[in-house]
Amino acid sequence: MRVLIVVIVIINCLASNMAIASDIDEKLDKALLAIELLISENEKLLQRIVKLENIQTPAVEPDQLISQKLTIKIPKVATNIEERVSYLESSTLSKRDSLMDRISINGYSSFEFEEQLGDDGFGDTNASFDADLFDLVINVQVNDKLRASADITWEHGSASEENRGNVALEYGFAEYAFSNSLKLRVGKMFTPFGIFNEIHTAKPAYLSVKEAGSTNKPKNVVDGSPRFYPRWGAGIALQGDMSIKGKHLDYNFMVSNGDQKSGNPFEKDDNNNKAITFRSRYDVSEDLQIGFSVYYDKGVSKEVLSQGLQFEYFTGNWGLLGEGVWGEISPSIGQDISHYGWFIQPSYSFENGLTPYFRFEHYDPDSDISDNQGYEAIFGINHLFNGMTFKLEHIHNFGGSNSIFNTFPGNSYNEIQAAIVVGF
Amino acid sequence: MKYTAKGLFLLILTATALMSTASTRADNHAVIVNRSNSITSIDKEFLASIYLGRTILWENGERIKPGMIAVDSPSIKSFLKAVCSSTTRRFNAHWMKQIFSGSGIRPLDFSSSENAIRYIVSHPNAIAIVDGSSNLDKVKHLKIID
Repeated sequence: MRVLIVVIVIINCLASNMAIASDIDEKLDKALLAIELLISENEKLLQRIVKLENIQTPAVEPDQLISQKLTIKIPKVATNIEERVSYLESSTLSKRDSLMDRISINGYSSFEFEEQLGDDGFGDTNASFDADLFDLVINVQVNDKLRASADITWEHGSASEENRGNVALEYGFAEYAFSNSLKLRVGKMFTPFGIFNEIHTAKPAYLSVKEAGSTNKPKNVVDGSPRFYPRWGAGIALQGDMSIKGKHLDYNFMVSNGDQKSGNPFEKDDNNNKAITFRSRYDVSEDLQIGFSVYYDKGVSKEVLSQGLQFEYFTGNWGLLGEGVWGEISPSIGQDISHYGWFIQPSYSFENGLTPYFRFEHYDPDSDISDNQGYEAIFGINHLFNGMTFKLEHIHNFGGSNSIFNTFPGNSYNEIQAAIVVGF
Repeated sequence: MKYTAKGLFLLILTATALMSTASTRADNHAVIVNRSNSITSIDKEFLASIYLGRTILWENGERIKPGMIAVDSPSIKSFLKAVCSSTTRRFNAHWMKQIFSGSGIRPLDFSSSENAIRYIVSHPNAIAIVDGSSNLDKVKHLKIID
């Protein structure tokens, strides 16, 4: 009996052990299957990676490439292998069509009409058409950090054989972005001063037919007046954008050859002093931006210091621009000249694209001479439709009793100016 | 008098609810990036600075490739209003100045959300604004944080 019990116990133990062993076997089989599946999936993923890496740079060992790509190339992405594979696939596709991605072409054309109303004035009494300009802006994103940009213009129906019009490189520079707040530019650039200079030829970028003369091209207000700063400069510039307490601020600091009377200032300076331009703009609110500019150059024939303040205010459909510039010119021969100009420009944009505007400009060519200032009062409309802009202005030019307008009745004359502008 | 006040209250409540519904319906843009991008949300100010050309690099130094569907579409209008505090006209005017002054390159324009999504799928550093009702399975839909 005791033996029988022992035998039964042994059999039970054996049966139990066999069941456990069978269970373990089954679990092991499942685990092995899972491991095989994982290996298989991993191999598939690795094959996809190797395939992608081979497309990009086949000369390097795939293992090295994988480790480089996963650890260095994609730091912000790829927390797991699926994401890494997705990155590599997309970057490979990206490389295939990168040429189209990296080049962009924009531009504009402007056709103008001018007529002086009446016989007396400095305007155009012949009611002329002006094939004002055709302009191309080309940007090439050389790589993530480096951009090359050029603006080529053909003005007044350029025909070099007959020495008509003007063909010019408005700007041509390379820009290297160290960060969003620090970019380095080298080349020929617009002088970064005030509201209008960098867009003075870009007629789609502002409402009026011409830029504000009082602060940008004073001779348009009082003929024969000097500029506050040259249009362009060849040199080096630092610029950047940043956020201060949630408000945007930008800066632009340029060192250039400056202006000169002879030779090509974009090729060779005629003195060892460099011109300095600085501008900074700050968004006080979502509607209001203010800015400050300064230009200084001590050249061969003169020393120039100009300073400007500007603001741009947009709320709802209303807009208001304003700028004031003060300048000191110290010629090497003759007396110093202090000149200043300012303008204010309110506008209202209707939803149908029609924007009436008014601009009042004041320019004093020499603050030591009384009553020699000039004014412009411009009433205009700007209508944007189907990608084309039509502009029409009535300009009332007038001045003080000592101004160049004093030979005209009422020290004034009137003009009509119009333009058809296309930007793309 | 009490009845009138109650009616007025209900009227205001209904109007507020309708305005809220209208706002939700209008706000139908979606911000998308490549699925390999590890970010899941984006700061509103940062997003605005991308689309105004003031931020051109991701934090890792790689170039941001921004794009959007037609700027006059309802989705982009709602995006410009909500994120950039701007309008189509002001946005276009801003970019006219940016491009022609040499300051930057305008975000890409896509003819449809599908094309934008295709672009995002093939460009790991891209970001796009599309119609929120689009099929976004192949891309990552970012949450905008105020």
